Amino acid sequence: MTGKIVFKVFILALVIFAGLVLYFDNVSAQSASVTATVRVNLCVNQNEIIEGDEQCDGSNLDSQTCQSLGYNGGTLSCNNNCSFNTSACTVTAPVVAGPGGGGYTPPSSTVILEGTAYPEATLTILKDGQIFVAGKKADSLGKFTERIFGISSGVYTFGFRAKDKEWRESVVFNVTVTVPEGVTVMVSGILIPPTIELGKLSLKKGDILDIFGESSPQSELEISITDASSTETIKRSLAEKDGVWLFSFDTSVLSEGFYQVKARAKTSDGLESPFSKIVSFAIGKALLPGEGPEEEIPEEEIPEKAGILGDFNGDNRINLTDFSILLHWWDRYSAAADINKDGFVDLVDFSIMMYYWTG
Amino acid sequence: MKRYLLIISFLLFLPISSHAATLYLEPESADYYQGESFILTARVLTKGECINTIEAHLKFPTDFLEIKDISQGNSIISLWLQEPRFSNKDGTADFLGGIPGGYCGQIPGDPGESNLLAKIIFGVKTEALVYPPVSLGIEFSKVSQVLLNDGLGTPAEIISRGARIMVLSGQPAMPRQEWLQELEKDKIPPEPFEIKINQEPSTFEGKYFLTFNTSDKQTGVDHYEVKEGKGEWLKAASPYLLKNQNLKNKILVRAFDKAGNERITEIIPSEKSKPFYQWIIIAILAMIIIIWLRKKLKARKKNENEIISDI
Repeated sequence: MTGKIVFKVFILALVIFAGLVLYFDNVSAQSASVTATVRVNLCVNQNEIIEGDEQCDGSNLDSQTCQSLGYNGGTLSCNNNCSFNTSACTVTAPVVAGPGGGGYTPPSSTVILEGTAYPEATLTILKDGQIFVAGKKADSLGKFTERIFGISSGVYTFGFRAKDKEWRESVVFNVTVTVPEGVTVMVSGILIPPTIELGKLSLKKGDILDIFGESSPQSELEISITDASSTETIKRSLAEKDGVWLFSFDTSVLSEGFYQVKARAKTSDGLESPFSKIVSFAIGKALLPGEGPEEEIPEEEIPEKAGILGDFNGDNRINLTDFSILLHWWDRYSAAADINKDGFVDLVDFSIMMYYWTG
Repeated sequence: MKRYLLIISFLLFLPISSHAATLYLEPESADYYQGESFILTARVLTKGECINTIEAHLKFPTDFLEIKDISQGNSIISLWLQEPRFSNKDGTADFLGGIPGGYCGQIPGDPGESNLLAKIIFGVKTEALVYPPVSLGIEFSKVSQVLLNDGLGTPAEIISRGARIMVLSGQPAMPRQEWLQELEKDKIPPEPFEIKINQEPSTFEGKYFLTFNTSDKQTGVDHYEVKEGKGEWLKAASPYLLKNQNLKNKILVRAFDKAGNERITEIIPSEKSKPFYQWIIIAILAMIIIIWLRKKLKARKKNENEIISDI
């Protein structure tokens, strides 16, 4: 009987304990809600009739005045794109928008981004460094188009990052452009840099090194191999119809040491991409297995590791969280945030982070 | 139907490697009277070279000029390592930031210049007597730096070009106030933004902190404020160490631009995915309940059988 009571008390205590653990441990922050609203403004027809998202049409101002839009006075008119022209409105004090960006909505603009990546590539588009579109698919020719409606006027930096069929990622390719008020800006001819990978990271002089990746179909690849003294060797290859490219490089022409490889694409219609991600390899006894330890090069010094530089929290992304960690350690020493291991978290670490940024 | 369409193509955009960046001020020269204020824009030219980090230091004479503000509005810099700051005592202005993914210069067909770093708002002092007119130079300091977007942080060679301002005698009846006009025009709040709660062992001793960042395309972001639950709005910067570490309350962040427009974003701490040990506890609890129910059922069956046999 006593045993039964002890068992029941034990079970009850276990239940209470588990309940308390679950209660105190299940709060965290995951969801963010942005309370902004942006209005799309498209001029359907200039016929004095307000249609679609038009704010006005000709002399038809939809009964709006400068005052009703939050100004203190002046004369309101209509732009040719059916948006309000408030240039003749007057203000005597700044107007404070309410929570969520309410208040007067200015004529918005549209941005169309057209370019080429690799066939069936998965694209991420960044706006001012933050992910704006994720998981966009390029078509079988690697072409993509993205339309951004309802954007306010100003200078924007749009970044493009592509992942090929083998999950290799390109570097971010940025375009900085001014978007005027109430117009459509089309940016075309964007050519995403190719992806690049090496068959081996360390090899003997005379070995064949496979350099490969994906690019725009049938584009010409310019492959740059640079040694420590910045002597550059240029080789060329051609991408297949499926975008895959390969160059088998005979390393017998190279001496022992570290080398950096990058590639860029040129298309038959005259487009040229920036250079790809930089990958590195070493030639010589230094990295061969079984050699004396005195010649071994520490693994962290192999530049290939640079693929995850700046990812301080290990989530495979380099974004605002990593930037915050860098800011936290700014101008101090931190083994966690000192990317180039020079003893300080400084401008060079920040620049390396900007280069590897994923958003 | 009329709708403007600007077409910008990369066909003419072939990068030229020069490893040089030009920092310059615009307008290069101008005349102002005492009591007037004007905007000097700091810009960069990269000649096709890609850069990602800019550290700019400006020097100006303090006898007749003073900085009233520095605006980040419409800047190509999207991450600021240090908010722009100035000293009217020392005659200096500094700003430091970067462009994730790099900036490779203006593209042909771009309807704007798209190379602005910051706007520095100067005022011409009224205290000193100006006669005859004086010419003042505003220059970039030699310690300014621009780093290439090459993954190594290589410094670019810098060419800098300052501005020359002629201060004229007397005060006009209607002094020009360029910055005030920009403030009056700005009705647009800062860009929409997200906030995130983070916890990292290497930062703030593993405590929860907020990260947020936005821009304002007109007059620039002035400051941020954070409100935790029913607490007060507090001036803040990212990263922000949360005062309430139990994450039970809604957190709001608002960004103000220089004209006073605001953008609010909120984050509601929610249930995170349960860690592995929590699933073990749940499994143990489930097993206990099953055993208890089976025991109960058995006991009931036994009772029923006993009643039947008694009958």
